[in-house]
Amino acid sequence: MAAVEAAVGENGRERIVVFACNWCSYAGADGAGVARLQQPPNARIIRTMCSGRVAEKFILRAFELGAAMVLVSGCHLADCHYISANSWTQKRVDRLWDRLEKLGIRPERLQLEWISAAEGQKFARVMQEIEEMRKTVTAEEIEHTRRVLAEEREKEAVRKKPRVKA
Amino acid sequence: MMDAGRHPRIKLLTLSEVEEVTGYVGNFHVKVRKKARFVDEGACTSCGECATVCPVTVPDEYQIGLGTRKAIYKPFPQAVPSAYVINLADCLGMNPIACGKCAERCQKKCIDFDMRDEIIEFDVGAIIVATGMEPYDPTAMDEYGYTRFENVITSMEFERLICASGPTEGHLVRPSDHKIPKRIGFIQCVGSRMDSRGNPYCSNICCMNTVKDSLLLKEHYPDIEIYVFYIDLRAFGKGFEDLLKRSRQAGVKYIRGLPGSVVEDPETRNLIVSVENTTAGRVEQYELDMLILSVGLKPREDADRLRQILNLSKTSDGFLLEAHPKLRPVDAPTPGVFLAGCVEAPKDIKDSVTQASAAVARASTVLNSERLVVEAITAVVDKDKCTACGVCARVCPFGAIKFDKDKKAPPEVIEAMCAGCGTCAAECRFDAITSAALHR
Repeated sequence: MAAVEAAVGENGRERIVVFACNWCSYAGADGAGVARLQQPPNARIIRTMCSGRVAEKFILRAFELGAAMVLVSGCHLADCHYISANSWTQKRVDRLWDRLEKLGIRPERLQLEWISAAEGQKFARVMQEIEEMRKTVTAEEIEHTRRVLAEEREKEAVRKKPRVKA
Repeated sequence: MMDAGRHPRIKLLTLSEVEEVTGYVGNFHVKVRKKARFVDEGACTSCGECATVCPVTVPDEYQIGLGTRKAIYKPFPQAVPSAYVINLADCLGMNPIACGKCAERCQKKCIDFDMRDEIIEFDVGAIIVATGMEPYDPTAMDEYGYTRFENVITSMEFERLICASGPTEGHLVRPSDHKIPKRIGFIQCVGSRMDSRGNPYCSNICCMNTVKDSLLLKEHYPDIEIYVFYIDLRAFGKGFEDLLKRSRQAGVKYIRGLPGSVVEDPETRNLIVSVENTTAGRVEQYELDMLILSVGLKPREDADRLRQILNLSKTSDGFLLEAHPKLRPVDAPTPGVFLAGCVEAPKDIKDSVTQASAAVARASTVLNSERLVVEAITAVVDKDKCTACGVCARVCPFGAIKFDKDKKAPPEVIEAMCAGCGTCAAECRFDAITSAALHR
């Protein structure tokens, strides 16, 4: 969570937050760097052991802090280092897309991509595409997102008050 | 294999299938189905009398269908254990009244039609997976005419033809007229290095297998003309380049380019091969007596079942995934499971032996250590926050979270099985799971 906060940092309006898994996508990003492929400078990559670790609240927190785009990226579906953990990522992101839509947030701002360790080129291409999409995200849109998600979180906090054990 | 069979501390379970593996590194519990052999393998002396009276004749799998065997047979001469076996599917009903000739003939009375499958259970500390591969079946790539022309064979069939214990006792003849071929062609990369059909990867062994075969042919039949059609020749191993050089010196013609079409001359049954020779930059035609498809390797058909039993993952080409491609090449991602041989990737004998030795060494470090060290990324359950909903146990890809629905108690994490992916932590709606390093 602290990593998300640091990644969005100041000037969040232009930020792209990338969650990349340690085994495939992070290595893919590394590959893109080694191959000196052009990438947007406003992206911040957060490494997780698996894309399965990326909880809904991480993504929502990034949006709440004002990130323009969030990319969740992991190994291809049959190639997960943790057997099938990324299938849960897929389900979770599917769920989140629905939720974002209901909250009036464009679901396209959350992207899910499977990028293997060998696909540095693909990583760079995806990042370029996301940067293009990022340019369409307006300041008002981000303000709206921040407000909606902050409200959501407060509601959640009320709901999740520690249960009083009898 | 013989040595392994005789070793006092190696228990060999042949004709057996692993049905279930539970537990974790150091504490695996394995359930194995030992299939009925219908022959007492301890008493059988391999005299072969039973096979002489068996009335059923079927194609022999070991000879790739080029020879025949009986319903009671020994899979191949050096089979371990050295005993006969009855194939239930071929035998004339397991009814001793219907046939039972073999049981009458056997002097040692070791044929027992009442034998049934047995389930054997035991505990092991580590598991090595070495289930191998299958050769590619070129039926789908019919531009080479494997299904249409008799004189087009696979490298596996060729191997039987030149084997001293093969159907022709090592005399090379072509299938259509049983004459010794004068001009032979090898087509490389059949089913390998192809994105559209077959497999995209290099099968590793076929180049050197063809080089070896070409030298063998030149030794036995010095006048034979050999043409090898290839994309690249990959002679990367120790001494391999030397072998390739010797093959070239022996007069084997290597032509860079894969044939575009193969047609058969209906009279002579010879094959006319058109190929773009990319070194010379022209289209050439060759009339050959026999064509050998150098088929690649592919994962076994039943590999997925084994993968589910052992909770392993595969790479995009279907071979098993190692824990790290460079630093832990024989470990499976599941702790306590190790890989050896072609189940991990296509490789030759030397590499398989190397990998098997490494896997054994890795397994013995597990077996000989008193304690196992786990990384500090394993999941920890906060028992106060946990509502015992069981989601974490359901999502764990490693089955490392034990949860009993009826007990309504927080789940237990088996640290030896947890790989630290964090899926449970992300799915927990109550923030009750974190990784150990972040706990406290």
